[in-house]
Amino acid sequence: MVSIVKTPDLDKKRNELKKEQRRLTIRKFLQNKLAVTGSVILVLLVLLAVVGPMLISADPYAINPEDRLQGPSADYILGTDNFGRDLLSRIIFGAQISLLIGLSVSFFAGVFGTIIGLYASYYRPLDNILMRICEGIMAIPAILLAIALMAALGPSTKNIILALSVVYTPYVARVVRSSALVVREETYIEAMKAIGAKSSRIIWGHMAPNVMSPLIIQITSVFANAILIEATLSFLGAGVPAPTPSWGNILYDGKLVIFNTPWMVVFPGICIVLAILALNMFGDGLRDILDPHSNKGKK
Amino acid sequence: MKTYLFKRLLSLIPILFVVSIVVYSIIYITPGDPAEVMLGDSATDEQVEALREELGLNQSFIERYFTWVGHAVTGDLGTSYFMNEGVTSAIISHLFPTLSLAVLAELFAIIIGIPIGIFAARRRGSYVDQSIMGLSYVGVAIPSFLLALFLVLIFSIKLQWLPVAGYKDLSEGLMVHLEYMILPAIALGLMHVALTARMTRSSMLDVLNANFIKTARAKGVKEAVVIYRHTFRNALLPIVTIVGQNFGILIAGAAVVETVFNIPGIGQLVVNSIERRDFPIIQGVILFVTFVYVLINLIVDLLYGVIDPRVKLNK
Amino acid sequence: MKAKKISLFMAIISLVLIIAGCSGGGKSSSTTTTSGASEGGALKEELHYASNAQPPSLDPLMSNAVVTREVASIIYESLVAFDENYEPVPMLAESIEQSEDGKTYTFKLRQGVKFHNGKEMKAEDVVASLTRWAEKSSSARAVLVDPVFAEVDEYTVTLTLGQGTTLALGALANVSHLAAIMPKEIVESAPESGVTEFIGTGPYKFVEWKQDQYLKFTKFDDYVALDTPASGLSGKKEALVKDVYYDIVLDPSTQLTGVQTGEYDIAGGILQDDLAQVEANKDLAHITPFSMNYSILLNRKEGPFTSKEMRQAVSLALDHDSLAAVAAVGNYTISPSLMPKHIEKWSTEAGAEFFNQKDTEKAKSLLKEAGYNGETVTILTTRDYPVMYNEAVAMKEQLGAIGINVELLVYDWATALAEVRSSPEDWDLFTTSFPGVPSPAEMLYFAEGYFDGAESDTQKELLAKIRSAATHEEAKQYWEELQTHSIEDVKIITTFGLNAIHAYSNKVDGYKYFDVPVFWNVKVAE
Repeated sequence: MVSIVKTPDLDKKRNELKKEQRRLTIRKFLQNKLAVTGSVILVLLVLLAVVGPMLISADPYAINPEDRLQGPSADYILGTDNFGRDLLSRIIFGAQISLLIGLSVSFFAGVFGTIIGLYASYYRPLDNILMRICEGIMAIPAILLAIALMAALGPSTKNIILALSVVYTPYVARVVRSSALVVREETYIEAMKAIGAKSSRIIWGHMAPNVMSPLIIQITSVFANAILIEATLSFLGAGVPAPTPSWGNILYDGKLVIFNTPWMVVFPGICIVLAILALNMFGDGLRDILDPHSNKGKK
Repeated sequence: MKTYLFKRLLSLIPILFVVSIVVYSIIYITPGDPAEVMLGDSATDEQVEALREELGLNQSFIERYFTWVGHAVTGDLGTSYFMNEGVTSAIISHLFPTLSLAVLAELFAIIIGIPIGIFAARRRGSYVDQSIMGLSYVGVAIPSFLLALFLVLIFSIKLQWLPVAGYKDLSEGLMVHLEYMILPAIALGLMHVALTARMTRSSMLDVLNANFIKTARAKGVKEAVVIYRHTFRNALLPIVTIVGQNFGILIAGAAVVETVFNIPGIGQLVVNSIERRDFPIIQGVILFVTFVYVLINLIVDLLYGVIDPRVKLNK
Repeated sequence: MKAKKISLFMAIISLVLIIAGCSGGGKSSSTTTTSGASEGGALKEELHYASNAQPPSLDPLMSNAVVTREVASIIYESLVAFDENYEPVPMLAESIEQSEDGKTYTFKLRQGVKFHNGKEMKAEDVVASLTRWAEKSSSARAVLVDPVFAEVDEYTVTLTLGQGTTLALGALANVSHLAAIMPKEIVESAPESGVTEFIGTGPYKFVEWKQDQYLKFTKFDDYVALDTPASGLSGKKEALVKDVYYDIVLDPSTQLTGVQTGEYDIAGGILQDDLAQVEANKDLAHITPFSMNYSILLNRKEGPFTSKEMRQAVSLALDHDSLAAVAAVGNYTISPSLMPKHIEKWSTEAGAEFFNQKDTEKAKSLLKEAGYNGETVTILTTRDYPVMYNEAVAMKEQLGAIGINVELLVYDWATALAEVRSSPEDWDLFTTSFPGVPSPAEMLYFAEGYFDGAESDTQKELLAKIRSAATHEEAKQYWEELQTHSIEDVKIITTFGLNAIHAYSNKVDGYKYFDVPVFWNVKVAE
């Protein structure tokens, strides 16, 4: 940091200013219907995933052949699947898996994407190579790339996270890079270079904080896409391995018995839609708040 | 313009190169062996080995890759292990269903999306507008395969109006073809209806706020004329862009819908080929789809310049 | 320019609206024409069969997949074919003579049999085809010792063996790796990946294969049928419909609705869960032929199941009835017989005392004896075959109940195949399934060097005795011994035999299933 003569008074003022800013952001957030609706649904889903298992007694793995494909009843609130397993508890445990995958992929894609994006924007020769690779990966349809990667790696939760991180890192990298390029051209960065500041300090101390808003928005979108692709992969039989419940897995089983047991498709389906809906709304809301210049989304 | 086009075409080369390496590497580390898949569990090791040798699976990664690239640049994408036909001809024979599906989904998106967007823009801020925009969020959030299941549940199983899945070629009649394509096209297109409606609305609003529209209104021009002749025409540019981009996404997204509805398009071709490890097909199709996708984006950019002379391309 | 674009856009919209408007009218008019033609009991020219898989190859020697044998049986014929009692009787052969020592067979060929390309079938074609068959067929490898096919004259072929066996003709009649007679030129020019032209002698000839859509066969006009009555796959074969479509319909719900609406005349992949719908429909009939024995293989190359106690513990712990209820739902048989029950010649209850015991207490004590310490036991399975996958899931629960720590390894079929073959360190139990074979010696899992590594000396000895027995009765005795040994030693656990459900329209007359769907002698009314 550029050194400033510190006085307690100035520090206090600064703190107040920060608090004021925070209050403003919170108010802006609360006024944004999209962000609020999105986060309420998200909180509910997280509660379902975290608290749900404590409230429900049924074992999501327990097989009861004689209770196969039963409709909703007092014993089985949402009915049973083709193994006679309790659908409600499978959907609740499925929420855990979906959220876990979404979170992990956002984390890894976020971390690697930020690193690649920042360094690419700072070192020009690196930029060319890294961005061509990113463009190449992004040019392959995400779902096809994910299916091919899963065939190569074999189905496991760990591998889904790995495959989806590979798929989505370039998207994060590109956003980070383009925002960082703008910062890079600022005079104060030029000045810091001139006085011989370390590049790692410029990159992490000054460029990184400035790409936070677009990064967070992009990560929300990665989160939603990760949930979507996981469900799609599992639905195609190439995702989370059985018998682990995941929403896509339940749909995979449900598709075979769709004539008799439509609820096996309907209930997990609704969960997937809700999760993606919430994340999209939350993301768009965030964009309105953090990045008011962008005209995408609502007016 | 020409230099721009040339530059853009040139920039496709590194992308395709990266794609080919990525796909090749994935295939290389994929367990499972086409020779084993074809011969089944009864084959002896010698039989598998002989077939592997013939298919060229015993060569090293580098050898295989460069042989393939050597052929690919001359337009020869190789021969399928299973299908007794060349990759190029396999792509051609599977292309029509995918194209038909994407075109129908796109038509659906345009026919429903644009009027809805205009409608919402005209009643900006009303409950109608708000609910349309709310619904558009739901539309974007429903994965195509899930919508496909719901549609099948309602229209094929409960109402029994349309077939559950399957495909009939156009040669058996347009109506028969459409009967099988309607649900897949809706499943694939709904998301794009929502996107198109949103884009139409916001781009209409941009123009509606422009001074020349205010002037026109002030002059007492009829509302319908204001909306359709003045506003919509000027709002068309961003709409064309999103429609174009959608088309690329639709071709790629068709894979999942084709699998659900058992439509023999290139998406299903590549999914099946991954299952049976038909490597030449996987490489060929993914490269082809990528190429189409990048090319469509290029065309959209070019169209941009044609529609709006203000956009300069050779910067 | 912009005005033009808008008018074009409007034109497209109106075009679509017109099309949409037409759709109702167009459909109703087409239904009236079909109902008009149905008067007078006319026969349909086309038969549509819905299959739930696409063949990996049309060359019968390239794949033992069920689909391949089904398709190959339409195009090709062998010298012999099974009658309904699983006795091999002449098909392309006119007569068959066997020498005293049982080592030489002389086949007199039928004269005037034409290939689909117009050429007459002669001894050289038979020798070329069968020499290739002897090399590639798993049946030939399993039962024939040093087979040599030779041409005597234009219409006579001999088979000489290093050792006599009662199983030779059965192997020649097997629909798996069918001993198809093809023109010599095609056989000789075939690359490792299989013949490139599909020319046989059957009542239907191959027309085209629209990948992922259908295979089309059409009546072969020069086919000369036998006079003997049709029985099993033998006897008189008549093509009563002009075109047979083998439609590839992967999705079972599509098969069900398709056969209900008449799009398919026969649907071969109906799910048990959908059977009620077939039964409720007055226009549909169905048959439930045996499909596969679902089985568990145990890895004896390495890992816990090298110990007999461990193997027996698993066998004792499994409740086949409950496994079958989950995985097969209904329409299954549970029997110790490793040979499917309908092959009465071979099926036997020998070893029943060790089968489906459901004795979890004894299983637990065996675990203790074996010194089991909670090591992970890995079940390798695939989702490509839902029955196997469902069985594996249920098995995990059952084995978990006696304290075995089970993990599922779920791969696609291609990877699973590669795993069982080349990575014995990765799996302990493997879910798979086996169709019926002409004789127990041809069971894949008894093949030399099979990937489970479970070739005991007793097994080798008894297989050799079955092969070289002078009579069927003698062979069967040895088989009973071998079956008992296989169950007691837990070489394989046959959990249940699954029956397929073939639903067909009442307009279809004469449809049978005998190892493969039989499309000849089948009529379809309009």
